[in-house]
Amino acid sequence: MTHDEFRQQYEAYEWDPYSPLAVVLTTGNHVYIDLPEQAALADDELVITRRKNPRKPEHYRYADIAQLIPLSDLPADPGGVSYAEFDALMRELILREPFRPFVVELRNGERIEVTRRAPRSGRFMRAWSDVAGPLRIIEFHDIARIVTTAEVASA
Amino acid sequence: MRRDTFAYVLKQLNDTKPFQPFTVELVNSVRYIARNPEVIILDGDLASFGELDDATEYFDANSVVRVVPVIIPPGAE
Repeated sequence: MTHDEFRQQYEAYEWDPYSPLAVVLTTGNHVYIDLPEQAALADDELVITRRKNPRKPEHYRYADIAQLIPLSDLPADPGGVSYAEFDALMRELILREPFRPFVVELRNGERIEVTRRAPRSGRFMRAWSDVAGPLRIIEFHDIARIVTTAEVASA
Repeated sequence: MRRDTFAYVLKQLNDTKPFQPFTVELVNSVRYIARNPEVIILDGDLASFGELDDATEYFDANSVVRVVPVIIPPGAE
């Protein structure tokens, strides 16, 4: 992709409804742009600066970028869930009244029971590991399956 | 704004179809932009806000000054 092609696609994106962007590299790997302020379009490369790592911006040459698409259009990796599936399920499970626990199975085999409501933003969900435990941050990419209460009960 | 009022406003905004982003401003002028409906969660008086870069912020639900149904960037008047 050229600088102009990337700029044209990037500037046309309206962020409404909100969905992070996926930058698909020619290697097949992808990186994400969560917010417009993370991205700077230099002459020959895309620079992504993340708030949690502000001194280590990521650099991607336009020539190494194959595609720029809403993350909601990116298919799931084998054995994982897509962002579109994650987005729809999280919205339903976190906001439903009354809240009912659900289970998140990770691709590494770990199983996390979500027993309390916690915020979810973009590609990250949060889960209290137990009442006194730390808040876990889980990226959709690490999730193999989300099991709702009904499925847990019938298993 | 009292906690119950904030809870009511939050629910109304979260239930809006299609969802429209909104800004929550605290008494100390800190602003949180909600781009997803489930980004701010209330647990008693404690509100938690999920940043899009995976950080989590907490605030007292009684410390909300206003909720505006538009995105107000940090630092803007």
